[in-house]
Amino acid sequence: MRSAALVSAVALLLGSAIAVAHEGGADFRGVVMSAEGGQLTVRGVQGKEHRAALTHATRIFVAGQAARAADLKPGLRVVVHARKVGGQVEAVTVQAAAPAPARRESGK
Amino acid sequence: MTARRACCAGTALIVLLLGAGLLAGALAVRRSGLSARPDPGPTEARLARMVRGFAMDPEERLRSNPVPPTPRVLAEARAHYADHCASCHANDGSGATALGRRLYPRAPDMRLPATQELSDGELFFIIENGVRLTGMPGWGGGPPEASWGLVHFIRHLPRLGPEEILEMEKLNPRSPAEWRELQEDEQFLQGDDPTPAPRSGHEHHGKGKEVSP
Repeated sequence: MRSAALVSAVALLLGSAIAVAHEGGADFRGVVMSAEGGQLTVRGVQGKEHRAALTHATRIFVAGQAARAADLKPGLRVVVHARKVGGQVEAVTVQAAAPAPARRESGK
Repeated sequence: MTARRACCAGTALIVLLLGAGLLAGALAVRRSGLSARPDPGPTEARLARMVRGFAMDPEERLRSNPVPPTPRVLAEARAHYADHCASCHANDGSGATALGRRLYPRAPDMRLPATQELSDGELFFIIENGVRLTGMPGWGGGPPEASWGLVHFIRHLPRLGPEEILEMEKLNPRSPAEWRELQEDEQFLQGDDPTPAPRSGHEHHGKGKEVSP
């Protein structure tokens, strides 16, 4: 009985993973180039640019706190979870690192 | 004699109607192929809710939550929900997941009155016993405090904050490759440049992210 439940749970989780995998994910990470006009542009590896639309449903976080598109300043590291909708890439979640503290001159 | 004849005619009519009903039902089942793709009709949904309500012992419905809604209880219930429930119900309770949208009936939006107006006892009963012929499993058998905690969390769903959802996403069930990517995401945000793991080979996955130089 217990093994049957375990098999069911594993099947459910595998099923969910497969199903989620077919949701049209288009994730990327990189450095913010701009976040203007509802469009996020990120520079990824080897300078490749990624673009994703920022919609009213996009959840934006900076250092783990809820934020707005205006808080996505150029140079911030971001992890973007996005999906393809009708040929367009829409950002679902944008997580940005905390802005780096301003460098102080050591005088040495 | 006339009364007897009327009785026979009435019985025959009832049998005929029942037969016609069964035939219509059989034809409908045959035509739909018992597909889970169309949405349940309003009559079917109402009937199913009525049956669910009828099947519940009134004493169960009237039970009140014996577990106080402390921050710790809510945090534990949130983590429990993220791990056990969110695959179908979604972290925000909307039911908008790949699984939830394809179940029959669909996973409900638990932020709405249809769920929020259920009593604590009804929610507890459903969590513990599940609902037959739906995707809702019966989770009973463990400590009941966990299910009572979930009842508190379901009440909290309409006020769930974005930071809470972000925390829950880290607790959702994942494949080993997805766990690795989550770790890489964390490393990347902390300023490290993780070595990209080999791609899972699943083109729809959209993972195997590029990292900045």
